[in-house]
Amino acid sequence: MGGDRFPMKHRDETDGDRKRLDELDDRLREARKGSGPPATTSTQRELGVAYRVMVEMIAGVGVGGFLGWWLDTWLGTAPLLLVALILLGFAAGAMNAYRAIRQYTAAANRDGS
Amino acid sequence: MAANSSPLEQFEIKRLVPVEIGGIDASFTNSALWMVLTFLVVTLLMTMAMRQRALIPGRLQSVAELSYEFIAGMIRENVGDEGKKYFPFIFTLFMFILAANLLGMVPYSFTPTSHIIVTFAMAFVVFIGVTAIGFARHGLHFFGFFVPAGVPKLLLPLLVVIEVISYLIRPVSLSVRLFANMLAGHTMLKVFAGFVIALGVLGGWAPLAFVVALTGLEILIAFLQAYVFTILTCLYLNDAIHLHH
Repeated sequence: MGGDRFPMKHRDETDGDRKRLDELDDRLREARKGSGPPATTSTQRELGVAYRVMVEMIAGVGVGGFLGWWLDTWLGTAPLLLVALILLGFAAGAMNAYRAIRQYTAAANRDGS
Repeated sequence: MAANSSPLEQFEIKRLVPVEIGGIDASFTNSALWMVLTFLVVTLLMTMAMRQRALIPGRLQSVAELSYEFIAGMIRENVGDEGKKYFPFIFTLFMFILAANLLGMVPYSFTPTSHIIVTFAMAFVVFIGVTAIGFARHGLHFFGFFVPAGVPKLLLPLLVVIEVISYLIRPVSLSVRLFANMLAGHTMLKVFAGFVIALGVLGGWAPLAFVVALTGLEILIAFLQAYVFTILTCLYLNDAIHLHH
């Protein structure tokens, strides 16, 4: 009786082991797919992108403003270039932000498929 | 609760060894001390970890190999094979920022990366280096980087100006991102730690729990910002080598 039960249990265990090994395989494959920061979830990554977009847009206006102010004091055209370059800086910041979002979308699509 | 309980006091630069060279204040400050410490920690970690050169790595060697593989993979994926020769620089950059951020989490320490001038210096080196690589590889063709394709002639001058400005924004946004994260995180920790004292034994537990959670978040941000700085360096390098956005 005991001898009868033992092989049964043994076979059950190998089946269970096989299942666990398969699961481990799936998890390994899953883990190897993305090579981004290992411990970040998608929410954190989205937050990172949102933060990046914010910094890009503020830096755009800042850099444009500084360039305009500097050129104005150099060429004596105040405040013409300051105004023009703040606007252009905003456009440049928006473009950088757009590129950041596009990179993120491309990466997200690559990970998702 | 005097002046030294201000949440911004932790960022104060103190001269440890006053040095003046030709009217320029070149003192050895607490910021410089912590940068030297960061450098020593990274160097010691890497040399100690790889001293055994075991085929099956131990714990410490795994850390070193993992960081190597992480950066090598990042460069392979974002720059390609041409990026391999820039590995030492990018690896150093990553390890330095990461170690500086993490050492800043030690109580009573100082975080050099919470100062804009430190992060801007790093971003500026990246900016100059990437631009130089672009000119070295492509010569005057590098200017083509600023001319978007398929644009009506009338709009072209405007767009070239915008492209140039967006290129100039890079070192600023790169450095501001790291600096602002570190500054905001450490200030917030200090503010909530102040609440713990102010509310005393009765009410102090809620902010204390928050500080514990925030410490975890800050450690995550230390990794994340080092990663972001490095991956953006890779992307900029890729732009300079392959000349496309």
